[in-house]
Amino acid sequence: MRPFFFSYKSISISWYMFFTLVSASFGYIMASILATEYREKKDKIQDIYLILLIVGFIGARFGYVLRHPDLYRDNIFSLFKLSHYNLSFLGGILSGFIALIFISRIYGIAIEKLLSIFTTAFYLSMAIGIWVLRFDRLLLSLDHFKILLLSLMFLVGMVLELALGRRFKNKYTSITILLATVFAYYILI
Amino acid sequence: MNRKVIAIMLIALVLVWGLYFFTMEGNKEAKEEKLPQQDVVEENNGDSVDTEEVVDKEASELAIDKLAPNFTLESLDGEMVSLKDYRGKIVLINFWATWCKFCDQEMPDLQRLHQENDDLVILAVDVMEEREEVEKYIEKGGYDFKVLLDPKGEVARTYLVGGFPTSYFVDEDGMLLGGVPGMMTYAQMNQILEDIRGN
Repeated sequence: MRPFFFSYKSISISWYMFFTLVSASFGYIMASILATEYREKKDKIQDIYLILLIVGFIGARFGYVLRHPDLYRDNIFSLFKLSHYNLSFLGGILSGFIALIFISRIYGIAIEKLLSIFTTAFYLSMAIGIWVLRFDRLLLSLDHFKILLLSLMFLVGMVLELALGRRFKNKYTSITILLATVFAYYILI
Repeated sequence: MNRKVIAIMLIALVLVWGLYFFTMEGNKEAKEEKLPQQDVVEENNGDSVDTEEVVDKEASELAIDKLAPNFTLESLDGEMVSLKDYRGKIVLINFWATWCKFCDQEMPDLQRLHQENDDLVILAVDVMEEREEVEKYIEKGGYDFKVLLDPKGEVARTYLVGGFPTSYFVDEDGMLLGGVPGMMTYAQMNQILEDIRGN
């Protein structure tokens, strides 16, 4: 297996970029399907998904930078150099959650609906995206079985959200499932 | 539940399962490839010239769990150093440059790692810089691990280096184990070394 998904002369597409695209696409499709289920306009949900994707990445990056300020004090331009090893999972989730609160008010959509749609899409994306750790075979990666466990954990989160989120129609259900998933993630990792 | 949702869940499950088996198959292949090669080296018992030639031909492309592409570069001491000279030791190939801030932060940890581990060789490959500049930097830092010069960046290109620092680890048999783009902390370097020894 090559450490890059594709490389030709100086052009190279990393596994990280490839998996980001694939997993984000899966999340996008899921969010679009759920938009119909929740009787919301598909294009509105798709717009929110893209906003969350960008906010999530920025939040994940800032989360990492805030945890390691000494690395960036004299290297301000390195802030823009992204890889999955310099992103903070918690930073991404927190920023996405805060963004959802604002988006809910701006778009006039109930927060429980948004939470249910986007946490489901998030779990699906993560279940697939987490495999990049195995594909790029970087040495700070996790072992094979642990990646499978993490991937299955996100799938379980998705199933729980789909099964319970709509039944209880309560924002606390989605938040509880999300917290449990984040907690399990940090235990496993 | 919507049929489409169920369909996408099933696709995801199949995909995850497929990814699991695909990556597991990769591991098995690597192990199977590694075993016969070790046998050949043992049978030759020191006369490993033929094996080495084959190895060099095979290792022209960068691939994990395959032989690391061999290279020969001049060190700061003026001697020609090849990667294959270090079979039997774990090799950390670190691509760096004097202007790179993160490389600068990583260097003292590389030095510490070099001093603490006898089974490890550090090959710090400086990419496309003047010898004098590199010499000055190394002298100032008081580093005594092997520093190689890649004046045209050919080795960096072979190793698909996209930024500095980038490190690759090669095992005792010359197999490329994987890489780390970006700076490593001392703890991370040690963790990788422990993993390599454990495997």
